[in-house]
Amino acid sequence: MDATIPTDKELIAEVLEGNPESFEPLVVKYQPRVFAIARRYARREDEVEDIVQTVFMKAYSKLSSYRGDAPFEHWLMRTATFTCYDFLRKHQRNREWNATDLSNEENEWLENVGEDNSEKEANQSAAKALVDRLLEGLKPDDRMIITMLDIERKSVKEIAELTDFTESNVKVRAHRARDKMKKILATLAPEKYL
Amino acid sequence: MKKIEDILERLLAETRGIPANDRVPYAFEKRIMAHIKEAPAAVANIADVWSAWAQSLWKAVVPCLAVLVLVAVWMKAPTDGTGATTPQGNAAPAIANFEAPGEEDLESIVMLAIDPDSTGE
Repeated sequence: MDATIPTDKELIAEVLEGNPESFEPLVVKYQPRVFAIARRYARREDEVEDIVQTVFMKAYSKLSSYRGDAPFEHWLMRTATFTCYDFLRKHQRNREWNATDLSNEENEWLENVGEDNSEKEANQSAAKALVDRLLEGLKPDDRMIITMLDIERKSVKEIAELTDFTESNVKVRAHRARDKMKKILATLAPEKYL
Repeated sequence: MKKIEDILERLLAETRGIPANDRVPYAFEKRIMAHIKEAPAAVANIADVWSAWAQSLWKAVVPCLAVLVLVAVWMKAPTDGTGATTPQGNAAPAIANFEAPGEEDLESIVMLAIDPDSTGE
């Protein structure tokens, strides 16, 4: 049965020979991963769908530049990373940070941090909302690095390959970004933490 | 007093615990494929527009050159003072010169049109 399933390289070769339908199995195979990446950077579902669509359109139009020396998945994830970076640059927000911006859940999380809480799910979503706030205060490239390094747990080497930064540059940017996040966190509730 | 560093680490750890949401909307691949099938047509249309523009530019080259040559010949040809050009078959084309006699004649014709009493000198 497996012999009948074409490989990525076979599908790509068919697309390049003028058969666009062969691109569909590649979309079906990789779209969950691309959606997961896009949801790290965009909140609204319509924005997520636009990012994913752009990723696959770019991949299709630049398919001839895929040399095949690395797995197609790596090449596609690089395309996804650069597309998300473009999205962040276009949607960079400059917000004033203050505690009144926090929701009740977020305030509660900060109040009870370190304590055992049975409502794990609510806890996680409040924490995620807070992390999103902190990430929005970063520059797009720093945000990408922190997301990949501290949330997706990618290695510095992997991030360097995905972003074209050097490994030392990734480390420096991550350090700087964490400092910025701490500053933003301190401004969220200065009376509690300073 | 809670340490900011610990809080940040705790926040990131909680966020890491949330599984990545890789849900795909129903038939999303069909939407992608529809766009891909439209794309070559759009590219072809753009190419058509450019090729038409290039063709029209090439067609315009010959008339433009002809007009250029005619104007050059008319400008260089000596005049008989009445404004009408009298090309002389045996005369070699003159090199453009600000002191060419034709220019003085042209000036006197223009002045004559403005002020019929002036002699042009």
